[in-house]
Amino acid sequence: MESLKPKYREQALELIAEIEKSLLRDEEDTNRSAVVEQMFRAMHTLKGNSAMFGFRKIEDLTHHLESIYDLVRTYKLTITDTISNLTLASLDHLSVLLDDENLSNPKTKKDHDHLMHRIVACATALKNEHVPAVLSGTKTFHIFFAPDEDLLAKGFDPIFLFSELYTLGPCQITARLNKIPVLEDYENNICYTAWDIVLTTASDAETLKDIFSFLHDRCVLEITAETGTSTPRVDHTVADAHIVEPVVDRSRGIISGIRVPSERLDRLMNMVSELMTVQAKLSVLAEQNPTQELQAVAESFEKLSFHLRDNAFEMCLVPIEYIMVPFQRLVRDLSREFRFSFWNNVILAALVSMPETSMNKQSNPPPLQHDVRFPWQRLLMESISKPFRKQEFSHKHLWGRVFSPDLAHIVTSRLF
Amino acid sequence: MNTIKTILIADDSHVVLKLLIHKLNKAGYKILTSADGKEALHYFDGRAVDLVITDLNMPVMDGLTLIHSVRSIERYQYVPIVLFTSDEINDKRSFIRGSGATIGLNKNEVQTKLTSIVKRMIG
Repeated sequence: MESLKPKYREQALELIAEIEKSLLRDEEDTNRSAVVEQMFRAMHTLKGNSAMFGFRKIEDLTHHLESIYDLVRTYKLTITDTISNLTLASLDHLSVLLDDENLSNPKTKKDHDHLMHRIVACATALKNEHVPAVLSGTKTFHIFFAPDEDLLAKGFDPIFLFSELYTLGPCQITARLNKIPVLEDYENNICYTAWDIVLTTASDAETLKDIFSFLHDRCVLEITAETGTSTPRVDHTVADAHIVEPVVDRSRGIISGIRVPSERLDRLMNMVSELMTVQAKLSVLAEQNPTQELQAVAESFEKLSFHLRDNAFEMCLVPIEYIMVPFQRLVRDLSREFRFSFWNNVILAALVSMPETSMNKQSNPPPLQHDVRFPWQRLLMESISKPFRKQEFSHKHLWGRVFSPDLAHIVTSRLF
Repeated sequence: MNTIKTILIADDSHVVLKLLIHKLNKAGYKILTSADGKEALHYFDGRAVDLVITDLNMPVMDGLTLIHSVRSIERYQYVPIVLFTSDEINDKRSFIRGSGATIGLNKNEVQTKLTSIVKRMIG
């Protein structure tokens, strides 16, 4: 078990990062229900893993957080600033607990007690406010709704339809996004989205069918009822439908990615750059001594080296989300603190100047992922991988791109 | 903020127009009317039109030409359009898709379903 603890820590850090990313995304209000579900699942996994590995304090803290987010995902509560702040403080503290589970540091212990007190008070207050309503004589329906791909471009807006469903009872609508293609294949007049709807209502299936009847020849519609009465609850198999597992293709049972420590990747890059130097020398030698055999070898060596260099470079690219999360958090914290609304611009200016290696220092080592999914990610990655020295990232540097030296100073002082 | 939505109806039948005006006015919508497609096109002069309801067969300009013309005006290209259809059309699904309308509606459903459908389409 001890030998597996580093793995547990590694995964816990990923889960913490995932929750933070989801929370920051939720604040931007994109596909809210799916994001909250994702956050809840990550908390649940973190709680379970912590219990298994004996990290009781992490388990306890996550348990209380999870109970707050259970209210959010069942639409009994919306995420307020208080909850967001509490969650972010908890996530920071969880990262500390991973290294000091026994609270040996007095400051950590003090922080822990204070935070636990706040979370328990918040969870208890919220639970008391939201005693689950008893829904008698209701049924839960699972509705799959996929409009024709041209329907939205022809003026149909599903929001009014969904609003009507919300009037019938507790309803959770999750978008299926798995058909959205990569950017270069994307056509903006095509609707790639379908929706899974879980509705608990006293209405019958015929009533639901009638709501969609005007679209009967313009969509795919499946309505299935759960048997017996039930309280509103999301069927995870439905909610999971759009979740993409980036590393393992479970349907085919093939591992499409592996985890490699970033130090090894750095070593690989160093060796590749040395190899490129040797290759250049070899090419010069071949030119100076034009024997057929040597030139053939030099040519093959050159081709292979270039392939290896490109390959290594691709491997060392970090998925953009790992870069964005620390910055999103910085944007959020600063904008809350200074009540500024234009921090996105500041951070974007910072982003174009940041190399991948300094990102690694900002966050935990990310898992190696081979896929950079969109061309813009690659472009951004390439633009930020140019050589970087701290003194270049000065007020003056930001001034040319953003607003004022004062703002630039705040950003640089927070980053380094 | 709830603004009053505007619906443009194009139909050469006075009886149908009267019925639609009555039902949709009662539901709180502002109505513009025209007796054919060409007359209807005059309303697309920059004013807000939230929904178009059009008959298929009309004199001067029919429903399909009207829809095609509306879709070609940049500002109105995404306006939802309800096209009145009849049972005589065999493959209604492909007919509606090809017509450029958002949905097709049989005239015999107007009495019972029109208001709720409009509400589901534009709120």
